[in-house]
Amino acid sequence: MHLISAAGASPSLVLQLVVSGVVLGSFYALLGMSVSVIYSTTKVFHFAHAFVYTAAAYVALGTASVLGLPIVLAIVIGLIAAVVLGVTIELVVYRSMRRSGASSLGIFLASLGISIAGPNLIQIIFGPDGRNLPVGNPTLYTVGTVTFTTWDIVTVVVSWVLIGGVLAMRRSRWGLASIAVSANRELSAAVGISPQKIYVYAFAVGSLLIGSAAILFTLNQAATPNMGLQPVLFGFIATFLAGVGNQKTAPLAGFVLGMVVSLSGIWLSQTFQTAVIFGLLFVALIVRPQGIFRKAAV
Amino acid sequence: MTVSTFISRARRFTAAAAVAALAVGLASCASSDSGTAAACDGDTAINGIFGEGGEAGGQGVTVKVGMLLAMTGSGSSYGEVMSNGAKLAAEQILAACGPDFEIAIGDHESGSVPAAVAAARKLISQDGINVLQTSFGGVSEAIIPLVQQNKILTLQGGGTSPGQIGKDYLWNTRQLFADPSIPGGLAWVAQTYPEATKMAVVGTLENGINAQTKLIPEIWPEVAPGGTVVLNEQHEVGLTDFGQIIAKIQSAEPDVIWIFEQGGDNATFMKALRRAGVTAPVVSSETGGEEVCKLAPEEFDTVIALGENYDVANPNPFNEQFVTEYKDAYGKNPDIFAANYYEEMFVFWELVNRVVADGGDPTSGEQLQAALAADPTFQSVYGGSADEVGTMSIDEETHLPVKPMGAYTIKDCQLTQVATITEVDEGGDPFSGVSK
Repeated sequence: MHLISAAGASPSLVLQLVVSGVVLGSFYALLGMSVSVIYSTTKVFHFAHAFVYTAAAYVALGTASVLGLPIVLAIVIGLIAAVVLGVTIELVVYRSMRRSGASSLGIFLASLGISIAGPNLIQIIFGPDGRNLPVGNPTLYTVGTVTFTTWDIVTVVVSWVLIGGVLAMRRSRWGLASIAVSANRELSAAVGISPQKIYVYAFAVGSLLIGSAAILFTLNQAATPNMGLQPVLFGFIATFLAGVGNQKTAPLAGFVLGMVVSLSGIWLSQTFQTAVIFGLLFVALIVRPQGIFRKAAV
Repeated sequence: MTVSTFISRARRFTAAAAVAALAVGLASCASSDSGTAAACDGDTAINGIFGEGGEAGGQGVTVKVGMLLAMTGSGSSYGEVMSNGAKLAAEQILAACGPDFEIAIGDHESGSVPAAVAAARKLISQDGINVLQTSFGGVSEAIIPLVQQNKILTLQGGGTSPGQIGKDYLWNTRQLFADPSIPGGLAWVAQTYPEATKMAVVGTLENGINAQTKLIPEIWPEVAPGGTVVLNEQHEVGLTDFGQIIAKIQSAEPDVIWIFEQGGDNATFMKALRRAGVTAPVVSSETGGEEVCKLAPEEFDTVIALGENYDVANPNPFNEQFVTEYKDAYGKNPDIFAANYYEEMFVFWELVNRVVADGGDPTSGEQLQAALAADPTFQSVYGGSADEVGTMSIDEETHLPVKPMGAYTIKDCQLTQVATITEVDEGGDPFSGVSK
């Protein structure tokens, strides 16, 4: 097996990997933001996010392919489904468990159970085969030796617009309340902020972001019932790289993760992709447990 | 206990019970067992091929068949079609007054060795299986000691790897993935693209490693003057982001690309490759199947498939009724995996018949294997003609089958054979393995 690439580091390879890294990094940034919004506010390891991710894609392609609705409308319905599902999980599962005095571990296990049972349910309904969102082939752009497509541009633009929107919302009444709950739940409740409402808000925003990520993914790739676990895992890694609870830098950490993964291709085979990701996490947790960037004020 | 405490506990219990019921329900649905038994009338199309059934045909005998499949994970589409093929065969055999093949499915989670070993142990010790159908390369190698210790006759139709060759109790109904077709295939590529010298190789870590890393780098320079392998990349099954590999392909500028992808990975790779503007011819060691055609129809039309092929349109009567019944049952054409696991059930039936005829125990793996070794030729959905059922033979030493191989162009998901490929002995002339 060729562990080290025979292609070497030609300038055209480096440039193409940089472009791929920008696209991948933007996608990981969106994932990181999505996970961070929920985790930093609620402290829930929301692994069921994987189910929300998958459900958004399947609702969109189901309404487009089966019901024959226009693709834009199908995407909107998919995003609404993601928000509804995410909020429902919070209200029906997590909130009930919190009220029952369940531990963080118990809530995590419930979330993990949903992340396994949910995709199984989708597989039973739709089957295990991959399914395409009925969108046409993207336009190919060539600049010198570097190529990219319309979907690459859409991924980068949509990801950063959504991230920017969420960061801007931190200055709104809801955003400030969310920061307060994140910093001290009991104290914020004492001054009249309802943590329960803020949790719902966090799940709605996080689910909208992860649903968007799922749609962006499905523009390029087939949706499968098991599509959700890896992106959510990468979202968590970005969150940990940024420093737990640091919403502002989670997208940057996701971007760095994507760039490192892509540029590692200069020297390493694709086989090492997973090792690179977890290696980066491992080193970051040891050397900079507070996050790879200087901790920003919440 | 206060009322609120009681309500709280009751709610917790209800929630836990609901989650448990959902999980159990979904798990059982995901690994459902054999289909419902059909009434035996002894006058089915299968009876026309395999005989009347009845006592001599194993009627009244129950054989427990284990299936070790990818029911969850990135390869779960394989598990579905494999189990579909086997379930259909079990129903047909029962309806043809043959034995009752009871199917129990174990999930190796798309290639996880610990999951495979645990599932195989459960199938053997708790489900009490008599025979086994396995899939994937690595996991099937891992369970060899188990099936040998317990004398479970095992058939492998999904991912034959070098580590499974010639193993006691493990017999393959699919050829060693890619290897037999490589010398003749490379010769065909050299003849078809005489200007091509730079070859890129991309494939999964699951199967065909020997072909990717040893055979092609050795033989390509031999058949193509000045030939070199400019890129050789392997990745895990189910990769979704091929950006890094495509970038390397673009940089290496190969004249031809040989891929060793499986199932949906074919579609993902081809879409990414063509969308990146790479137009080099692509040779695939897998002939695709409906999922690939559905996901990337335009892109796969630019592929040349090279190797073992299952032909849905084969007029062989055994195959014709299989395709018809399969489409009726599942609403789509069978692929190579459905075909292999389907006909493996008929291999088991033929073996049961032989053991019954000898007055033996048709649930004994030892006796079934002895019957197989004594005459390793079986009726098959491969080969044959409109008037004649095909046959498949398994080599007694290697435990590998001999099946038709070729080079195929693809148009609208239909394969057209453009050359016949035959296996070349080690050190032989690769050009002797190709004929048009």
